[in-house]
Amino acid sequence: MSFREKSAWISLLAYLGIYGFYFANVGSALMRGDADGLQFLGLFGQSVVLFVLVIIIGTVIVAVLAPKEANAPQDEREKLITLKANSASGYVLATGVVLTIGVIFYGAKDFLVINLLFLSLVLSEVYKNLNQIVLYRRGA
Amino acid sequence: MSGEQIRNDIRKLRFEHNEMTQQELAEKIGVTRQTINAIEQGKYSPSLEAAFRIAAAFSVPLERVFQYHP
Repeated sequence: MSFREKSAWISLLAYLGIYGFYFANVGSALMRGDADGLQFLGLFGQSVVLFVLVIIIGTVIVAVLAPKEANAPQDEREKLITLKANSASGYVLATGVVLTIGVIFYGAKDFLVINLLFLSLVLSEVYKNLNQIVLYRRGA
Repeated sequence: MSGEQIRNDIRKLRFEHNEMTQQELAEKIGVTRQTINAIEQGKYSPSLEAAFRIAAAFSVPLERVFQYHP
């Protein structure tokens, strides 16, 4: 497994684990009807900090195990995989934003709107990582 | 990128060149070992530049490395 495929796995697992936990809490609060933006500000901040730490630590560990590969620039196949994955994730983000705009017209509160936008971003990144992994596995 | 119509003899050429490893070839070409593996298995068709570099690494003409079967 290449350095960049490992990085994609780290990112995917961090997104699913950390933001999965965050959105599970947000979702259950919305179901109960007691969602409060300030109440979740702390959890949001902690999630972002934890995510950044996991990505940094995970990437450093993988880079230490394969320093030559980590320092090398992307080759042509890796660039192609990045482009394909970015393109696909763009559609997910755009769909999420458009759906969120639709929800705003139905009088959605700020808390829901902000979290739907954030969810769109997270889902687009998850989709990007999944695409990268599949393309690395398939060859390109 | 489909490699079904483009076949290659990289594995054979590596064997003929002192059993050159994929990693050694990758370093000569400036790509990762995984990319050489993908090219070798026909899963990825390299750019023209990379194809010429591979041929140059074996000191053979391009068509000795890659063959097009329409």
